[in-house]
Amino acid sequence: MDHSGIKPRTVKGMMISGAALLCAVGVLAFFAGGAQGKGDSGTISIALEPRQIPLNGSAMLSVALSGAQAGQPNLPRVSGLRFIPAGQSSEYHSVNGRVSSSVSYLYQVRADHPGDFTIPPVEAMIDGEIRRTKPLSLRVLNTGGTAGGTSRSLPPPPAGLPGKSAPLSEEEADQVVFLRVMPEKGRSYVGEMVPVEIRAYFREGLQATLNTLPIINGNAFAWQSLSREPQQTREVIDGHVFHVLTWYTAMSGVKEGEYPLSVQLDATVVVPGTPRRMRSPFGRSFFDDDFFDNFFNQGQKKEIRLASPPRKMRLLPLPKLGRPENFSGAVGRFKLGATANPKHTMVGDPITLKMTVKGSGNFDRVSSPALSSQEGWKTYTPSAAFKPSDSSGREGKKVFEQAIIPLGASVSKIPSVAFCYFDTKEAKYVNLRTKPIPLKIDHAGEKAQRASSQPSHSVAKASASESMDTSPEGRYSGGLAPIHVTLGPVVGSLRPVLENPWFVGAQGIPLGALFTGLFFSRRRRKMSHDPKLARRKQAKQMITRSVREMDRTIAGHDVEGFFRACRCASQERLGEIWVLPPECITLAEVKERLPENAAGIRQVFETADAVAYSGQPFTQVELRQCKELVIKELKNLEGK
Amino acid sequence: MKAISLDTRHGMLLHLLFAGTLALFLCIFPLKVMATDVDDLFSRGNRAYAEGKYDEALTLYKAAVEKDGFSASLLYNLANAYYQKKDVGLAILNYERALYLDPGNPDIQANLDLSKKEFGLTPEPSTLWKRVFNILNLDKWTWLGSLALAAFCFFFLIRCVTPKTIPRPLFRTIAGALLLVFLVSGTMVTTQYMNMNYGVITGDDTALRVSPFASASSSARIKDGEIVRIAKAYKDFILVKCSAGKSGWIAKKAVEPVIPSQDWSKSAT
Repeated sequence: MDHSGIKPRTVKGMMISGAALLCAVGVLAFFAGGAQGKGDSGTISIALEPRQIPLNGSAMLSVALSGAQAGQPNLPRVSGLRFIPAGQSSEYHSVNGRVSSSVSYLYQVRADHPGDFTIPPVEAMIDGEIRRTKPLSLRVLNTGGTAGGTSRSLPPPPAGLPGKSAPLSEEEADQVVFLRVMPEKGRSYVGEMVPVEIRAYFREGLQATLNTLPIINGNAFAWQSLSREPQQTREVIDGHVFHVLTWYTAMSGVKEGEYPLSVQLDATVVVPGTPRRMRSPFGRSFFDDDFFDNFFNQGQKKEIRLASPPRKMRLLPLPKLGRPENFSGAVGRFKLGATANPKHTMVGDPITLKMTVKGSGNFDRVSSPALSSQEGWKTYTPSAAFKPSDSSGREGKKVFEQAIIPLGASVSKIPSVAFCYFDTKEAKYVNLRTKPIPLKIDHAGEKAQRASSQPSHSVAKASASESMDTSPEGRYSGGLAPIHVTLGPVVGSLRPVLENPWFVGAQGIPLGALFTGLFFSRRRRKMSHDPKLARRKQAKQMITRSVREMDRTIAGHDVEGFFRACRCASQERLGEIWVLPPECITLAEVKERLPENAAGIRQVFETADAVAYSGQPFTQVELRQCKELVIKELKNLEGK
Repeated sequence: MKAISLDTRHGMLLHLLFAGTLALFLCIFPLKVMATDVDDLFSRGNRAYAEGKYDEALTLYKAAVEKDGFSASLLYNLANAYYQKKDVGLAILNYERALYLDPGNPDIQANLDLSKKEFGLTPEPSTLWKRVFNILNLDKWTWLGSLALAAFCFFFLIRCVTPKTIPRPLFRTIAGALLLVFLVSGTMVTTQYMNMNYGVITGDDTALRVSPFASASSSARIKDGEIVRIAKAYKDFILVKCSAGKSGWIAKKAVEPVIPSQDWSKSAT
């Protein structure tokens, strides 16, 4: 036996545990080192939900720290606010050998008095640096109901429900979690909507997760849907603090008799476990950090099924005596209203009759109120829309919209509408009836006259046509616009012109013009890029013009003009061939460049000069011969 | 010489003008003569309608259609007569056809909506796009686009042949405007043309079959007057799609296309 009082097997176990712990720490340290070396810098973030709470409510503050070495957050002191630790959660991520960790600290925030509070920045030491969050604001209302977060969007709980919890029963006193179902009353009529409150109690400090919504047992009741988000409150019952989740709903009995009423709920609770490692006798070590404590000691999770003790409900039948024929099964207390739009209309035009039934009761059985008399009216099936004003759907209003059409101008009012229900308070059937709605109905003929003032040529003419207007019946009956009295343009076929082959073929003409234009455009562009071609074309035009001039001068016996035209034509052709301006082509140039060939051209130049200076006479026959010679020479040169 | 040439040109122009006027007169005159007969039938039909003799009015209107063809007013009055006879299918068919010819007419639209409402069918909501499309009918949009294209092409041709005739800024402005008109018209034509393959059920409580055979089982029934989209035809059946999303084969004789195509007769008036 060892003097220390510790058994050898225990020591051996401790050594094994210690070795395993060291290995684990080594692996952690390795990854932590990697994270430190390669990871992102640490961050701190804060979230408060909801930002507005009632005085007896609470908000959840979450401080998330991420980084290789993160200490605990230092919460500031705020006068009037209390921060109650509600646990923490840790996450490790290893992606491609890159490790990061984050720790979230949760706090329940409660207020001592109403008002606007500011939570100053929360500080935490992360990777050797102090990080701060942004300040947050919290509004605490002096109301008893829910006011914040998701609860704010929910309608208020039904009136008349027990607000404060009853003392603990013997069974409940021993339990850390229990469930209660609390209907507003223990007896009701069949079909009567009874508000019900379902409460789940969790002792403070207990961590729990809900796996289901409360499930209602028993088939003698029809239930409204539960409020999705339970109201969260904190209550002290018999000196014990409980966190209470409350759901609101309503139920109605479907058959008379006495039936048990109970609910059940599945949840997972975390039972705190004992620390797995021993505290070092040498003070607080690195591994004594709460982070590791939380990491290694998660507690034991346990799935439980809560069931409320059954409560007896007595369901009474609706009296058969005095039940009106138009009773549709509506039970509760209701009010009826009706409006119509438009109130000034004409025969055949629809009027929207809006009927509103509001109050409390089983709105699913509230059917549309009906016109007390349908004579002179054509009615259509109404549409219905229900808008609840509480979370259980017991209170609210149901709006019916019905299209009704007056069939004659003698109608002066919309008849009263009637609605019947069973009043649970008075225990009798009540028949509600609205006042008739006065109307002004024009005769449809007035509509036709009004229509004729529109820019519809045919209708205007119809008004002018006496034979059409004085028709005894039918023409304007039922709100039908009058017939047209002019034929208008007539087409041989309804087939679209697009399908006519000649039309499709005719589209070829503009397209042909388009392609012709494109051809010309391309040609011009081509010539602008080829000066030789342009020059040739210009020379050809000038020669043609000169030849015409020759003919004209021969006819006029203008010798000088004739030879001037001959020389001009020759200059154009030679200028094109020699790439010279035509005016630069002289007799000397011709002699030099055309020593042997083109004797005719040379002769033209010589004669032209001679005529210009001496006025040598030529007959018309000679001029024609000369022209033929020039044309021949020009053609000979064209090939060169 | 020059004066004579000018006179000759003017004379030719006058001759052309005279010939054109004569041709136009010759083209219009027979139509006018024919239209007089149709007008008479139309007026007699209107009188019969006003007296509540709807059968007689229907006969006269149909005779007018057979004799001359269709007009928006004629189809509209015909539809009114069918409405009075409670023949919802043919009433809606003829309202739709009248609207095809005169899309923006408020009387036709009002009576079509009223008929649909009266006979338990859902009137189509009027949208901004629909109102824009309905400024002109399909043929008018087609003509507008065609004329804009023709004007653009000839304008372009003149510009290409004799560039100095039209200054560049003027050419650009006019050509741009014409192209815009062509594009808008083209869009309208394409959209309307692609959506004209619809018909109206003209038989009572018609069966929608799963395949194009008389022995095929019925998947649903369609009400008289309901508008369906025609997908394709097979022998005596056509595949239709209803506004509610249902589709199936239906006997060809039970549905009349609003715009009769080459495969369809215009017997449903």
